[in-house]
Amino acid sequence: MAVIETSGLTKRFPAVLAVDRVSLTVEQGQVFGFLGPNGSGKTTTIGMLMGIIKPTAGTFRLFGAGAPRDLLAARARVGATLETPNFYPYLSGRDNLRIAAAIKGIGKARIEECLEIVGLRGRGKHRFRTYSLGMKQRLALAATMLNDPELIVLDEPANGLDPKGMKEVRDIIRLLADRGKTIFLSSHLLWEVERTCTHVSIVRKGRVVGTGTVAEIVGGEISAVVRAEDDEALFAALKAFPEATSVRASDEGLVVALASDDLAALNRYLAGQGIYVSHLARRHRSLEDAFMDLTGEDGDLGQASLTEFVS
Amino acid sequence: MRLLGVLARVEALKAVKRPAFWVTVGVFAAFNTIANFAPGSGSERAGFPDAWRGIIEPAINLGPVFLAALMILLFAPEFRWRTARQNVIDGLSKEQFYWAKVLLLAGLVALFFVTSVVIGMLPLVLDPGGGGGAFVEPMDLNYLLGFLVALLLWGTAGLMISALVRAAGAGLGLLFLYFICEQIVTALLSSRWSALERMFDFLPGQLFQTITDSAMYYPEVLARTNAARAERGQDLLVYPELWIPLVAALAYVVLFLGLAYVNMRRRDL
Repeated sequence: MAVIETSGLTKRFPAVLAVDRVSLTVEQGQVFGFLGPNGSGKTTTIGMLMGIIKPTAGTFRLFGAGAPRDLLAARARVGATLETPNFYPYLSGRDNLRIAAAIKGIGKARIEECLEIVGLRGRGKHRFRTYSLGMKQRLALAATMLNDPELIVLDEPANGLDPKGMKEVRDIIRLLADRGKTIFLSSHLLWEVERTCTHVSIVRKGRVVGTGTVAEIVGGEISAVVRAEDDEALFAALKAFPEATSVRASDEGLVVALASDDLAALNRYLAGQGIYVSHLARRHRSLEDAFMDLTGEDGDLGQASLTEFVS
Repeated sequence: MRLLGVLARVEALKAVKRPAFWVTVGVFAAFNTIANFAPGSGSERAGFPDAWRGIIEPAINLGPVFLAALMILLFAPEFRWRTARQNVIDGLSKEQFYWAKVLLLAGLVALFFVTSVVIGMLPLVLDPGGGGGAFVEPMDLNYLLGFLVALLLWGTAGLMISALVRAAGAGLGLLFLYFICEQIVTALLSSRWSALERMFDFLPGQLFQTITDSAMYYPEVLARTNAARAERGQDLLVYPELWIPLVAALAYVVLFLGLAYVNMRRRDL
């Protein structure tokens, strides 16, 4: 059963086309990663699903419901948080959950249960503004879990967290996934998504440029990492290699995607060009590689691209 | 009905835990208390029904201003904190969120009204005057009605500005700047084109002054005021029939609520 279905979903702001005909389907039980660089339209897409942003065009359904009144009922089966945790800074964590619980029609007992799950029971009486970023993110997770939702939508839940905080968030997501929840996770931390998600969609400039299971997106591409003394000569030689489909720089060296996995042939070719490699190894393609191929972005999305492509 | 209860409970929790709520209500109550217990103010009261004007008068000018400021302080930050957005994500529709704020406004109007009356009555409880006759006269009821409408006028203005501006500081600035500008512009233009004066009477600020003036409700106050003006050689005050400014003010109330509603529906959170 499709939990989320969008068709041609579009949002145009006065100065920018934020979401451009996004069509995707999230099935029940999937842990769905929604990936894209900053400003690629992820939050806007989720905002439309949650009813806080009006689509310019296109349609969407939650649990099969598409009409406004039905959508309101369908949203009762969803727990979501967008971007930064949004709470009243002058209220305690517990009081903030009381507000969310009242809106969702949930009793007090569940508030304590959720605070317990995210490890905030001891800090429940303290004001939200005194929380660390990790605690704020955990409180946001507690709020999404209040109504024991079938679908949990998390927008950048690991934003600003230290490695320990990230692990805690990842553990909670896994716990929820193990309980059979459908999770829609927007993130630009690719290795996080690769570890957590079963399915992904990649968006770039508001458009979906790839969608499928993580294995499908990563694909079976063969690639190799090559290093030599003269990087420029190596780069030129690899570009000219008939079996190479792309070449790009990485921290490990130059990464060449190959049409066949005959690394010996590549080594022979480079030697023939007068280039003797200091390192040649088969390389497993990661989600980050797929992401870079699909979006033309570097894996660290906050920095300028260091990647060069040869198609 | 269940939804109304939930909205009221949520708004009450948000309000009573906010320091700005207690500070604003406290300062208003303090001003009101000082005005009611100031030398001369209590002694003038001979008991009901004559005391009513003295009870309402200190509150009718300050109360609506404090109410509008409090409405902006409680509503506008919901956009900066993105809690308006989160309330909708949690399950309210944008319309329900708007109605929650209307409920908040109704609660604040009731609070300011009751607080004013209770504080105004305190000197009489402590030192009952003579009085006599009916507990309340029709003109006292009209004055109370005027107070209620004035609270609604400023309160809905605060609600509308919060929905439009979505920032407390800018909202408060806009509210007070408008009323100051209205005073200046109407004074300047009226002095040049007297024909405009009657039209300006129906601007929100001018209407507020009209409906909060005790001279409109109490003939003896009007007579006293006009006698003083006549001595100074000023034009005598002439008020329209009571219902005209009250209905005009209520029309603004409806307009402000409508604009806030349309804005909430149309704009993204």
